[in-house]
Amino acid sequence: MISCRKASELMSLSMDRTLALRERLALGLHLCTCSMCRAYRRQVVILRDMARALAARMRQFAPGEMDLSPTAAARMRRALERENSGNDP
Amino acid sequence: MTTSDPASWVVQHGNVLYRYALLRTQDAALAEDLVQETFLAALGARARFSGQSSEQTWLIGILKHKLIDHFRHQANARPEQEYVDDEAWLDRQFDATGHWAQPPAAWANPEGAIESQDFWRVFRGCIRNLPPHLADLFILREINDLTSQDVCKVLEISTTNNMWVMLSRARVRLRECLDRHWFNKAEVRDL
Repeated sequence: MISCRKASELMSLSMDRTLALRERLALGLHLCTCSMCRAYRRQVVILRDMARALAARMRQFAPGEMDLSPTAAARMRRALERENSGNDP
Repeated sequence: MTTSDPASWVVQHGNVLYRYALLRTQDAALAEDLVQETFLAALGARARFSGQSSEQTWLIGILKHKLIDHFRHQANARPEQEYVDDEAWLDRQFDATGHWAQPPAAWANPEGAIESQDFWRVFRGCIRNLPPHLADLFILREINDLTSQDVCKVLEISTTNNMWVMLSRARVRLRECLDRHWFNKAEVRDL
């Protein structure tokens, strides 16, 4: 019987590639008897969904949400002006 | 072909570049720095702007290089200790027989959590609390959906196998952090 530690690695791996038959059997056997790892398995799936949801959320920002702060924008404008006047004859 | 007046760049392209950098770093201060560096680099390279692409596409191209430089630099600057600490942290999550030291319990209502601004603050915080090499990996692979090959190249991870091992650690950590700070947060009793 594999340990929870090993099972956690296989559950993570199953998110990224297909498990080999031997890996799948070992994990399946472990999960039959381990409710903690069954909870963990649901959570790694949720983690992936959350990462996707965050990306989607950041791509569909509302206007004004996630804008450059006025302070940062002003700092950049000043830096550009300084550089620009320094380079021009 | 010439670019527009650099004085107008911040107003015209600032937000687009900032969001691009923020999505890929999840760090507001760092994203601002990278955007500023992009503008300054663009100013120096203005003469070479061909006009084949739009000005914004050209600027995003420069920002991409800045991001890659940043991740490469991070990957190279990492002290060995970080990996040792990471190993030690993982050891503490399991007992001597390899069972969970603190058993994962089910999460109630994750669908509700993602509707909450507070939740996303916690989520971002948990990502930032990861050891930097795991944070960069999780952000690029899971949030930005970069291919394994690209992630390994940018973060200088030698094999896909190593990347999988690292991802597993990132997940154990994130799960633990979200559990502690959100899903099974202990009630504050004496305040």
